[in-house]
Order: sequence, then C-alpha cells, then structure tokens
Amino acid sequence: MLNKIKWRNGDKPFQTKLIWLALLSSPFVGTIHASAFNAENAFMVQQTIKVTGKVIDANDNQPLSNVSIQVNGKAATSTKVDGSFALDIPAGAEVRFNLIGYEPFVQKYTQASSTVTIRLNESSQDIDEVVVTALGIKREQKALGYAVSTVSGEQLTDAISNNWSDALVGKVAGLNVTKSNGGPLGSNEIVLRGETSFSGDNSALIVIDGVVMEAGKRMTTTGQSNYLSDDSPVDFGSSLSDINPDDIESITVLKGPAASALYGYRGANGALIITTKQGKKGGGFGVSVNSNTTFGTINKWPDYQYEYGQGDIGQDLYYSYGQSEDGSSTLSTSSAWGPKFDGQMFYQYDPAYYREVAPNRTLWKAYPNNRKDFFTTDLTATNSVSISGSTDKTSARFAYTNVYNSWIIPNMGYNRNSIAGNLTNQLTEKLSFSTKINYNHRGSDNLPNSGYNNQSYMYFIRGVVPNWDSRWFEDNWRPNEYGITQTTPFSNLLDNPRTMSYDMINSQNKHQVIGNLQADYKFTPELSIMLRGGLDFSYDQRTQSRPFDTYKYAFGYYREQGVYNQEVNTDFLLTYNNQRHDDFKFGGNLGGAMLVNVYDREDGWTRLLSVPNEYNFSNSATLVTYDPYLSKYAVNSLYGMANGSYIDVLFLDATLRVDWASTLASPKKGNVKPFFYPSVNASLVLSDIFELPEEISFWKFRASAAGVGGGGKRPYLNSYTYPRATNFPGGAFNPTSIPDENLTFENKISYELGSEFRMFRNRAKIDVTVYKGFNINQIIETPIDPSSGYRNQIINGGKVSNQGIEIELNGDIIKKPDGFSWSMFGNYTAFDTKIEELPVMDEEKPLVLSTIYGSRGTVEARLGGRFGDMYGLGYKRNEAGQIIYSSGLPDYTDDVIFIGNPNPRQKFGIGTSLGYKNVRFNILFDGQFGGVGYSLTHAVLMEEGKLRKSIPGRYNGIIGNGVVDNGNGVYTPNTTVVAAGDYYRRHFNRDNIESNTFSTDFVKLREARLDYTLPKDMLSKLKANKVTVGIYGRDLLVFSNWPAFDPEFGSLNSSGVEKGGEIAQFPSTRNFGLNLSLSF
Amino acid sequence: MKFKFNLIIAIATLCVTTWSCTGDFVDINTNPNESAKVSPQALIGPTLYKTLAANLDRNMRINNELMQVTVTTNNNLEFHRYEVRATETEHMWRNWYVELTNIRDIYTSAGVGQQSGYKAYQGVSRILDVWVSSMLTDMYGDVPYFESNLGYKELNRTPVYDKQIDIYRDLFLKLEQANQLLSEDELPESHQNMDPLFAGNTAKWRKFGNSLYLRLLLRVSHKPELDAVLKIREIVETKSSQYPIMSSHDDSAILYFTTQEPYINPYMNSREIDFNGNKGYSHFFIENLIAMADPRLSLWATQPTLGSYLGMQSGYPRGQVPERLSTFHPSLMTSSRLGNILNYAELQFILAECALKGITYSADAWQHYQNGVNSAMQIWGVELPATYLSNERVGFFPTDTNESKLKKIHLQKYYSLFFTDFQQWYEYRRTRALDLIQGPGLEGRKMPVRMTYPLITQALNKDNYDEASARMGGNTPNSLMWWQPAN
Repeated sequence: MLNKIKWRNGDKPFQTKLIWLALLSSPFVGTIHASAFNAENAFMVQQTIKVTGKVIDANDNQPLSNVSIQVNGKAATSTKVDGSFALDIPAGAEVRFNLIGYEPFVQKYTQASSTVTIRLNESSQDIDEVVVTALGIKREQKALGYAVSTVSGEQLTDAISNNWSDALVGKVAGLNVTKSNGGPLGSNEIVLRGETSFSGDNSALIVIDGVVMEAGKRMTTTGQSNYLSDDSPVDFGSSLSDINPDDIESITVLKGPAASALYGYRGANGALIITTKQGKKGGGFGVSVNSNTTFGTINKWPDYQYEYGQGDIGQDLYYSYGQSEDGSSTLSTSSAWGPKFDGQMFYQYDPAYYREVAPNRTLWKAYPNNRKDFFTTDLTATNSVSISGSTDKTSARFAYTNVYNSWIIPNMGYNRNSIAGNLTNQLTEKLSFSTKINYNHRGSDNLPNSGYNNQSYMYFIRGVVPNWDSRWFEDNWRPNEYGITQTTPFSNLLDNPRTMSYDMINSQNKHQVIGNLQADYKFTPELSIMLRGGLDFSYDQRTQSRPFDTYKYAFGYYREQGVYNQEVNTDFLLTYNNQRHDDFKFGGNLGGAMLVNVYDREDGWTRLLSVPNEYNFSNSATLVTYDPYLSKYAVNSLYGMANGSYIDVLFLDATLRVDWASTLASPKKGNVKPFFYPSVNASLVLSDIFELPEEISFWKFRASAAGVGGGGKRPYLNSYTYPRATNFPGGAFNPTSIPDENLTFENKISYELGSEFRMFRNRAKIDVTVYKGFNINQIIETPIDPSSGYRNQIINGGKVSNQGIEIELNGDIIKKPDGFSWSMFGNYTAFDTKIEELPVMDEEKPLVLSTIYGSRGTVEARLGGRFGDMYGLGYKRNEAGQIIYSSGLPDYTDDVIFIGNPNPRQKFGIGTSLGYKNVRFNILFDGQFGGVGYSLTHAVLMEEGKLRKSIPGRYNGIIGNGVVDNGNGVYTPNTTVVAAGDYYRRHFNRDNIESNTFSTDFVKLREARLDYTLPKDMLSKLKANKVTVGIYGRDLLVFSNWPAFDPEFGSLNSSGVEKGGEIAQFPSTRNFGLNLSLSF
Repeated sequence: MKFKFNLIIAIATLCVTTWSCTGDFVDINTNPNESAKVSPQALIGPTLYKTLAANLDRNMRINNELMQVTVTTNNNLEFHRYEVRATETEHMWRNWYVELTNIRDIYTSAGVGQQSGYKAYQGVSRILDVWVSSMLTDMYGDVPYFESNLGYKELNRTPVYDKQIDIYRDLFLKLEQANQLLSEDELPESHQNMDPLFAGNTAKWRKFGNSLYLRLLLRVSHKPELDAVLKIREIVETKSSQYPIMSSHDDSAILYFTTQEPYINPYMNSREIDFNGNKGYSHFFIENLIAMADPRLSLWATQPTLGSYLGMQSGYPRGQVPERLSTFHPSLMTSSRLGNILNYAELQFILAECALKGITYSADAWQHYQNGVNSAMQIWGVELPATYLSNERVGFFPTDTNESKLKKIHLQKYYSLFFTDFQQWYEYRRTRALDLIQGPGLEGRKMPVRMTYPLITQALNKDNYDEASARMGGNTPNSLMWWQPAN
C-alpha cells in the first residue's frame, strides 16, 4: 500500500496520512519506503535514449556543477565542473535538475538530444531558501529543526550607523542590543534570548566567514568605576564595530544552542554568522561606490527649568558672586534653588573680574541654551569603493572604506580605514582555494571619558545652572598659564569642559587583521573536505594624558597601554552527502577545530609629572606603575553531524561534539578531561503531508533539543597562585578567591519548538518559535564567609532557565505589475528568565552578582527571581503602602528592596516598504516594554533643583503625601511643611533608588529611507549598472517617559557594560543622512 | 575508491590523535601572571599596608563617629547616635580575615622554605596574627579563630566560632612563641627593604610583640581566668629581661606613609571633599584640645572662622544637621602619621594605668604618664609646651582621685590613638574613662559594646553563626562579650 502514495501530486488519502504519521516514530521508515519504491521502478522498462547537455545559471550563464539529476524520481547522476551531463534514459522519462539555491527544473524527453541547455534560476526567498548555518554549512531552510533569521547586507546599510550592529535592532525577534553609551565608538553587546549566565558573558558568538571573532569582541575600556573614581571608563570600542557593513553580504542569526551546537559552548548564547561579499560571478569586472554622509543632533533633553538660578537650599533671597554688599558668596554651589529670574540686578560673574566681585550689578537672567552650547553636530562620513571581478576559475573582490566621525562633543571622534579583500580560485576540478582578509585601522585623537566623575563631560553638564553663560568657559586656561592653571569661574570641583575635550586626551591607534585561508577538496561529488585556518588579531595602542590643575590630578597624569589580542582557529570539515535515493537522503559531517586565544596587555602609568604639558614617562616625577597581564586559553574539539531526510518531508539532524578545554586543565593534576554533548533536531513539512486549502502554500513544524558544554573563557580558575602586589617591590598576596581544583564543564540545555506557515503563494509568512533553556553547572565565583580567609570561591553550580516566544511576520501585500509594491514585516518577542537554583550554601540568601549605580544598588540572583533583578533603598512604607515621613521628609528603608529588572519582557519591530517603479520608501519602528532603569542624571538634577518638576512649592513649601508613624502601629497623615529644596532633595536623593527608577519602555522611529534608482535607459547612457540616491534617518522619533536622554543605555564600567542604571549618560542623536551608491 | 577510503581513515586517525593531543593544555592553564609559591618577606609589606588602609578607612567612618572625634553631616549615617546598620559591620570582618590569610601564610611559607631567618619570620607572623585576631575578637566577641582561614588548605568554608576566652588564651600563647622565636633568630639583613615597619630590626619586632602583649593583658586584667595580672608583673617587673618592651618613640610600631607608591597615604589622591567634606570635628574633641592648649590642634583641624576652632554636636537629633565647623586639616591627606599600630606613648599609658591600679608595684604612674604625653607630642613632631603638664586637664594633682587620674590617662591615650583602628572605642568600652557628651539625638540608646556579626557570615555560615549568636544571648550591639564589663 505504501508504494502507492504519491506525495507530490496531491493524492493523499487520509488513511495513508495516519500510517505515515505512525511510521514517523519508526527509525526504519526510510529503509522500508526506499525498498518499496525500488520495487515499483522495476516495472519501468522502455526504449532508451541519450540526452547530453549543460546546466548553466540563468542569470550569469556560468556552468553549474554538482547539479543532481533525477530520472523518473530516481537519482541518476550529477553535472561535472563544466556543467555538462550525459544521460541514458527511457524515452518519455521525466528528468529533474536540482541544486540547492536554485529552482528545480523538470523536463520530459522523448527523443535523444545532445545540445540541451538547462538554465536554472536562483530561487528567490522561497521554500528552498538556503541559509548559512553553523560552521558555514549551507542548508535548505526547510530542513532546519531550529529557528534562524537572516538579515541582508542591504538591511544594514539602509540607514547606516556608526556601529553596524545598531542596524540589527528591531529586525530580528529575540535579539537585544545593549549599548555601552560610551561615546562615538559606541560598543554594543548583542544578546539573544536573554541573559542566563552568572559569568556576565552572555553575548552572542560572532563568526565572520568562518573566523570566530572572539579576540576583538572584548569590550576594551580603561579606567575605574563609573561613579566618582580617580579615572573614568573610556570606551575604546570593540572590533565588532569595525566591521564595515558595506562588506556584509548577509547575517544569519542562530538564536539558540540547537542552532549553534557545533560551535560548542561559545555558541551557547547563539551566534551571528556573517558572510562577507564575494567576487562577482559571471566574469568581467565591476566597481561600486557608496557614499554616506550623516548628521546627528541631540534628540531628547531632560526637562530643565530656567526659572530659578544658582543657589543652595535657603539661598533664594539674593545672588552674589563673591562676598559683596548683598551678603556672603553663593557662587560655589551646583544647585539651582536660588532666586527666581524676576528682573533683579545682582553681582554676577564677569570674565574681566575672574574670582572677584564685579564692580556693577547686572541683570539676573537665564541662558536657556547654555547646556546645548556645549555640544556640536555629529558628522559621520562613510565612503567606500569596491572592485570585483572574475574569470572562469577565479573570482576576487577588493574594498576600501573610510569612516570619518566628528562627535557631538568638540574635539572627539575617530577615523577608520578598512581594506577587505577576498580571492577564490578553482585550481583543479577538485581543488579550490580561497582566502579572505580584512585589515582595519582605527585612530582617534580623543575619546570621551564616560560616567559620573570630574573628568566626564556629562558631569560638568549636570553641574550647569541656568544663569551661566557657556561663553564664560571658552578660555579654559588662565592667561599665560596654559596647562598650569584652569579657568574654573565657579567651583574647583568642576573641571572646565573645554579642558575635558581639548586637554584631557584619550587617544587610540588600533590595527586589526581578520583573515582566513581555506582549501576545499572534492573526493567525489558526494565527499569533500575543507581545511581552514583563521586568524583574528589586533594591537591597540592607547595613551591617556591629563594636564596639571585638574581636580583628580593636580600634577598631571600619563598612561600608556598596548593591548594585543589574538585568536587562531584551525579547523577541518569532512562532508558526505548521499542524494542517490530520491526519497531517502542522508549525509554527515565530521570536523575538528583547534583554538588558541591570547590576550596580552602592557600597561604603565604615572600620576605625577615634573613639567606641565609634557606627556611621556621620562617626565614622570615618581615611579611609573607597571601592570602587565597575559592570559591564554585553548580548546580542541571534534564534532560530527548526521543528517537524513525522507522524501523531502521529514528532516532529522543529530550532532555530537567533544571538547578539551585548557581552562579545565589542572596544573595540580596535570591532565585535561574531554566532555561530550549532543543535539538533535527535526523538521516536518506538514503541507506535504496533509491536503490543505490552496491558499496555504507551506507549513512546517520543527523541534530541537540540544546540550552544550564548555570550559568557560576565564583561564587559571583551578589553581592556587599568588598575585603580584602592584608597586610593592617583590610583593605578593594570597588570592581572595579559592580556586576549584576539580573544576568541570558547564552545561546549557535547550528545547525549541517552532512552526513556519506561508499563505497566498508564499506572500504571507508567519514563523513562531517557543523555547525553554536551562543554564546549569555554571562556572562562577560565589561569595563565602570571609572567616574562611577568602571572599569568594570558584565552583560549578546554579541553574537559570529562560523561556520565550518569538514571532516573525512577513507580507508582500501588493505586488503590481505596474511597479507598485507594498510589503510589511514585523517581529515580536516575549521572554523571561528565572533563577531556579543558587550555588550558595544557603539557598534562601541572594547571590550578589554585581553592584550598580556607584555601589548604591546590587544585582542579585534570588531564588525564583528573574535574572538581572535589581535591589536598592526605597521609601519606607506602612502596611497600607503609604510613605512614612519624619519631620516632613520621607524615610528610606533600612535594607535594600526589590526595585525592578532592566530586561524588557517584550520587544517588537515593525516595518514597511513601499515601492513605485524606481522609488522606494522604507520605515521601521521598534520598541520594548517591561524593563526599568535607574537614572542618576534625574536624581542629581532633582537634588539640585534643575528639572521643571522641582519648581512646585518653592515659595510656600510642600507637605509630602504620606503618613507619620505615631508608634504603636498608628499612622496619621503627614502635615509638616518643609522647604521645596529639602523636599525634593530628600525624595530624589540618589540613594533613593526607588524614586529614581523609571520605566524604559519606548517606541522609536528607528529607520526611514527614501531612495530613487535611476531607470535602465538612463543607466545605459551613464554606462552604469545601478545608481541610487537616498536620504535616510535613524532614531528620528522617540516616544518614552524616560527622564534623561535615552531609554536605551548601558553604563560603561570597569568590568564592561553595566545594565539597569544610567550614570550620567551622553545624549543620543537623531541622524539624517544622504546616500549615493553607484555601480558600474 | 578503496584508496580514498583509506585516506579518510588516515585523516580521521590523524585528526583524532592531533585534536585530542592536549599535552600543553596544563602549561597553557598555568597562570603566567602569578606565582605558585611565595616567600614570607613578599607578603609582609602588602598585608601590613592593606590592613592599615582598611583600618584607617573604618576608623574614619565608624570609630571616629562613635568616639566623638568627628560628626557626620550625612543624616543617614547614625553612628554618632549609636545606631549601627547591619550592613556596616562587614567591612572589617572581610578585610581582617582576608589579611589574616596572608599573615598566617608568612608563618607557613617560612616553615616550608626554612630560609635564613625563617624563625624570625614566624615570630613576625605570630605578632601580626595576634594584632589582627585581637581586633576581630574585641570587635565581635566570639569569632572563628582556630578553624578560620582554612578555606583553601582544609576546604573549611564554614569555620566554627570560638569562645573569646579561648581565643585570648591562644593569643597569649602566640605572643610567648613570638618572643621565643624572635630571640632565637634574626631577620636577614638583605630583607630590610621588605619590612616597612622596622626595616628588618628583629629586636624592635620583639619589643612590639611584648608591648602588644601588655595591651591585651591589660584589656583582660579585670578577668581572673587568664592570670593576666601576674603576667603583666612578669613582663614589667619580675622577668623584664626576658620580655623586652618598647623603650622609646623610635620603637613605636608605626608604618610611616609616604607620598610615593607603594606606602602612600591612602587619602593622598582623594578629593578634599571626600576626605573631610561630609563631616566636622566634634565638640568633645576640639574643646578638650583647646582647654589643654594642645599644640596638635593646629595640625589636625581647620579654622571655620579665622583664629578659632569649633566642634559640632555629636548625637544631634535626626534631621537637625548642624553646620560643619572645624574639619580635618587637608595636610592630613599627605601626612605620614596615619599608619599607627601601637606606639610608645600608648605603652606608657598602659604602664601608667597598671601602676595606678596597683597591677604593678615598682612603676610610677606619673612618670609613665609624662613619658606618654611627651612621646605622643613627638609622634606629631611638636614640642611639649612648658605649661602643658600643669594644665588642670593634664597634670596629676593631689586632689585628683585615682579615677580622675585614670580619666586623664585615657584622655591622653585617646589622642595618642588618633587614626588607630578601633582602639579608642575598645578602651572606652573597657574603662568608660572619657566624659563623652550625650547628645539629644541618642534618645536613651547606649554606646554599642560590640559590632553585630555581619550579614555575610549569617548567610553563608549559618549553623555556626546561630550557635555563637545563641551563646552570646543574641547578635545585638549590646550583648556582652567575655571581657566586656557591664556598663
């Protein structure tokens, strides 16, 4: 009975469906059916004819090799390298030509022929869509048992950004980009499906053309904490931001461990597989030029007040710069609780009378643009040219890109030059070589200090009061005292902003090379091997200098750093593909990889210079502190994948990987143990099983389960060693963390179910994925009772789960022959995490993962809580939830309380594209809901009376809304009047985390682009292939209740990006740009 | 085909063997930045400095507020109102125990290497061990001691709490041992620069150890169990030749901070506002100095208005923050004198108290007291003013009772312990011999007599904590430890 089922012709009796489904669970399904099918074919004996010819690409007429040819549904042969084939077939047989990435072609032959030319069309994004998966293996999307999303290069360059990864926002369900908010280089961290690792390393793996970009992914900062520390963090950028989006062909986002299991633990957080552009196929030569110029202006300011001027609480009767006849001086406060601007005359600052009382009173007035005056327009120019060409054996591409950026703070910005080249050569029929190389140089004369600290620009900006004129700060050194005495008209606590931008220098000079060399050898059409070596290395030289007379460094500062990063990956992949049976296909891969990662930092600094304005170690007046650091780890792996498919309806993959990680090698025991982990996934094309209404063109169901193990990226955690005591001659100390000499691998397990559904001849698509994962046995550092002699211990433990749903929608709503088209796409993610087990001795107690907001709050893992939950002080409340007041001011809690979680619960992106003939218009909105963040900017501005909401009550005082504790459990309403300044300063004191925490929900008009492509007839006159002119905008509108600049932020800290708190964030910009692209 | 099959097998074999060849992984995972072994002299400088920096930090934050040296203007810091939040008691627990690991490792590593002078290093380790352990037990009462600091060596991450009397008994044993070890061996001359305290002078270490012995003996001299009184007599009188003690200011255990790394004054690079911006001196501290016409006042304090010094009210009512008056003099940020451990002046005040109380027979309280006053001035580089000892708040007068003499000794001792961990508070808790002012904000609260066990040990060493806490009658600031007299 089975052999009568014709799957593809729509004859699908209901009974057979049931039998078929029953057989799904049988591992023998393939063999049973295959043998049955052969029996049927035995009856087909007819006259034989000879057909020979060639298969070519319909687009560029290039021969296509390895096209599988089926005769009457049975695999017969495949084409050679030159695309030729020869067949002996029964007359009238149906011949089917099949190649991944192309639409199949079917033809009946009744007569012999020797001049057949078959043209295969590349498949558009249809059911047989081909995607690049882990290790660069190309697969049909319908065969995959896990979710992938693909982003095209175009989508990244529509509205170009300083960091190309910004352009991923809103386009991929489940992808979250956390910004460092650290300046023009704007390092980003890409997190897929939420954070689950206690180690703090939750970002996705980045792979460029098979080269893992691990070495340069590390966010490179210097400095200490972001809150009132000696030195502020500087974002020196990660290599990730140096990738030129114009060179990117496409990005495949592998969201879960099932998709990236072959990458091992580094892929456990998902992976972004970047494929760069290749030499143009089809012979000949092409040049393309792409030019972008973007202007950025600040798009959102806090709601400042310009009604009251400088003065501390209680100093609202008069203003006096210096002790004058009006009274004692009120000049040195950063607060704006002073007198109202009411047309009065006061003794005010006059640059001609620096630090002295001016002879005359002047009008008491506000300068409403004084904060804006300290910023300029951001300008970014990105220009690239690429040349590509090919012969029949060789193809090559070469591209050069220059990026010039001048940032919103004067004298800040960077310059980047990149060269990308690749070459592919088919040496013989069986052997080909290819190489890709990317060189980047990034230089900057000055990058900003971030955080809340005297050296950071935003620290000054928050100190600005309404009655200051920005021009008073223009000459930042006293006359004839350049680099010796600063002009600080008001407070010595505030360095002059011009000193920060022109004289406190953080410079960078970074070289980076990413490249690979690859050889492919085909033993037979079914069996091939690939050998590859990949290298990612960079050397980053930085200097930091601070002049004399700055608040933190009275006698200057100079630091030099050299950071060498290197990762070498060597791998091979043996591929076997058996397509001999039409209905049962199978294949497999066997691979191995060796990885070595090196981080080597030289670091020296002096805090005392002899002569001003001379920045070198010869000029040091004290010992130069030298603090080098070297770390290295290696992983060897072997892995295999087996895949099988049954009549292109059921697909099954299984992988197994074994790793040896140097981080688990024990110096004490002298060995390293391997660890194994498997994954399995399946895809079932339901639309080929069930008879469905015509409108439904495709329906697929998929499921996967995967485990990945890993040894972590931090070396040296399993042996006891003594760190060097910096600056102590021959000094050492005991480690404060106890190593785990039995350290073993960590494990991440995930399950995923999904379905893809397409209607109306694939014009409407919906893809839904649900997942659940567990991150267990993590290698973490947990606190222990210090009476053990140590603060922390390294252990394996903990369990964090994540779960969520991802929906992607696509619709080609109108596609008219007259050229009008309208399409929409959208994506939606809801996700959550939960702490299921804690690796501490007492599970009731929290595990403090980090301190945030300048040590005012903590990120704690508590049993049952979400990952990233934040704790801090809040209002003391009675049982009814009313705020308790003492002396008219609110009380704070004695202990930390739950504040919220910075991770949004839901994210979405929605976009539309309209086209008419040569005009195209795109627009993208995205948003997030369910997260909160602390705003130090808000806290400080409220403490200092600088926001409009600090105005009510300035004359009559305020009675806070709450109760007073009368003891013995009785609460009566608060009736005490307090001064507005005292009231706001107490309510919004930066220690009160609760009152300064706000929702980070937002909707942004993220991208918009309008472009015009010259019509074909004009192009031929210009001898061009394509000419497009476009205008675009990025981050045009922000809808949010966030009180500071931008609800999307991170705060750079010594250890990386701190989430959930904005510590004097930089303004973000609204960008407009012009794009011109030409290709010949 | 057969050939190819063989080739595949060959490649596969090659791969498996190469890829699993991980012989150098152990080398790769051997930390190149850090050393697997350590010498005793490498540990001394860093641990002394870090302990002193931690002490100074909390001396400024907690001791000075409790002991009316300073008064904070931060409404949320309530030490001066005798309220100590649960989160405040962790810093010392954490720092002292971590440094104790280094200190005990000096003993261990000296014993392992047995280089020349190793016994002297063991003696040094014992003294520092007693110094830090005594600060711990005097602050909290029963604390982990015999099982502490074995988190790595014996994998004991939840040590039991030991009784204070047992700890003191062992501290005395360790000091006996140190005295013995230091009499048998010398610190090597070539290690001079590794010892920031005495530059390798073994004799001075020995004197420091025995002087520390006297500090602790006197602290428990009112308890009969450990025969402290007899031991004091032995050290001072009957067996003094076997127990050399500090004989001049030069013998003082002070780590002189510099303006250069590594022994830099921890406040050298602070902002002035962080150093003194949120506190001022208390009325008690300033008023006594003014009354005694003490020459140290101008070194220590700023003048809020020209020519006059003023202090703030300690224990002010919640919300009624007074104005900051005299504050820490900014020159203290670069001063070399903030690294005091135990100075000759303190020893003289100890001896004076012993004489006054009749613990010792031969010594003269007045003489020792004068030596102490003199030396305390010497520490700060000032001359003893001619009239100082005849000031009514300084000198011993015939009308003085023993109690008032004791108060005078302790007032001087209080100033000699300026910037010295928690000694002012420990001494006050023992003697109550200072007329601290009771502010209106105290609302009947009493001076805490201990710090509560920090949350971190409550959470992570729960069973042992529960046991110790029950033994003490609850983990409160008013629970009495073994030597603590009831108020």
